[in-house]
Amino acid sequence: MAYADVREYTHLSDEEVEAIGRELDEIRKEVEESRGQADRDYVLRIITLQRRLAAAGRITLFASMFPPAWLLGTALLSSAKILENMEIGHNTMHGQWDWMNDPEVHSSNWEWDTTQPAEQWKHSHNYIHHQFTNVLGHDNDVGYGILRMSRDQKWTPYNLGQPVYNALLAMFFEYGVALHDLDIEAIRKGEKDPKVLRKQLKQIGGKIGRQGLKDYIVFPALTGPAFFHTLTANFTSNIVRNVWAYMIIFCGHFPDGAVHFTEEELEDETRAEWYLRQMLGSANFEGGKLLHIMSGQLGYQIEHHLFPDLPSSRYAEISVKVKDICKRYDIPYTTGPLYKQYGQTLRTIMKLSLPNRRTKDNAPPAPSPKSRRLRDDERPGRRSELGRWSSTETAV
Amino acid sequence: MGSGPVDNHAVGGDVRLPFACRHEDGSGRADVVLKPRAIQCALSRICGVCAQPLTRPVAFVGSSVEVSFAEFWFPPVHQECGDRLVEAGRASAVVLTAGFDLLRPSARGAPVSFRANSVIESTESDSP
Repeated sequence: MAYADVREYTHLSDEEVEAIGRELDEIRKEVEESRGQADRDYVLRIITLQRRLAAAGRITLFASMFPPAWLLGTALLSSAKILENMEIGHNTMHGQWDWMNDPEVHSSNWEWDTTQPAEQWKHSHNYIHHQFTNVLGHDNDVGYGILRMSRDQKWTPYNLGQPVYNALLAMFFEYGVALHDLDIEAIRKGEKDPKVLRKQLKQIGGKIGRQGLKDYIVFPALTGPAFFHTLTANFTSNIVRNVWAYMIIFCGHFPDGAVHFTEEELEDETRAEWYLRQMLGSANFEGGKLLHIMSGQLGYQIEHHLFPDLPSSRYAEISVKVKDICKRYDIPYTTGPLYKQYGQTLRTIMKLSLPNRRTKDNAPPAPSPKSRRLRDDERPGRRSELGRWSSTETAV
Repeated sequence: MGSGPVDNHAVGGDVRLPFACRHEDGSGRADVVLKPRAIQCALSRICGVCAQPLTRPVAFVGSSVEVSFAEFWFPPVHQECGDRLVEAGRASAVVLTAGFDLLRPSARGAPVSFRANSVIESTESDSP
């Protein structure tokens, strides 16, 4: 059991684990009780800012035949897309603002400016990734089914191409995310229910079509003679957003110190154990307020994984308390400047393109666990929930 | 594909089990909520009865005791699905809320529960 690994790794007794759980419960309670107008004002301010940036970008691109206007419009539009995806869309779909009872800013209504349908994101990200965080064979975010991100994953010659796959994933990240919930591995093995696959592909196709129509036909056409300039600006904005989102997301779980797990019975862990797994499997990065806003507060990835449905605007204050808990209980609190965190992630991607025998492990040595880690061929089959965000019966 | 509830999910008699009570092979008991399913419903934001995306407001069903604490064992559902559960005698009250919190258990083996954090309306059935 990986939980035993975690306990050994952190040298905590059962009582200490429970005490950590109680302290984190208390943090949650404090935020829930003080959640109110200031939080509402924050998110509404961000939404207003995002819309103004988008409008300013679209208007500027009417003059996109002139290079400075093209550059400015692209920058404004890129910022708007980043803000919408990271700080607004992602967090709204977690239900962070549901308590406001705002018909627009609600997890059930928000559809974001990217190619993955919100409905599938809520399954692949909110459920699969947040419930099975960093659990090999369960969490599709571990390499997105394309990259080998842990030494515990089997190496094949396919992995030699990782540097190339990584660059392509970064540039076209929204499409990687769009295909996230399909479970490519199940499709490859012929295990995917064709009915569910058809339903998902239809939904993804519809969303890609709408996004393409908006960014590559309607808005360019509105700018008349600047059609092709606007089209290239929109394309560039999407690439900028893709690369940024990719970098932020990869920095959340793959810098040195973020632990990967192999566990069979995740559902039976206690709240305290779940907290612990989230803390050890996530990594933060440091930066100013603007950086945190533009990254959807995912520089506080540890806090986000502990409390995914609390308002993102509170993660900074929560992080002070979480860091203190980690210090007192001698638990790793993985953080560092963004360049360092991404540098480590990139190094891991490059190294793991080679077999383990050709490279050295950078992870700090862990004490011998009570139960050893499982090899790939010993690991349980992939979870049946992967690649199906609703029951087979409802696929029509 | 509709985004609302589908009409194949009523409970009781010869009809299907709620999604939250149904194993992958279709088996299960209507009075036993499966923990993995409950977590999936809460995080994926799908209905515990029909497994379709939730709509606003979210409904919770339960007993009068659950209503008094605004804490429920059955995962979130559509308002229509909640009404059907009450009609089928599986619950005595429906609470509408904008948001909710998933409460993970503090003890191994214990179930998860849900707390309605912004209650809009609460309706209790007259029938026993």
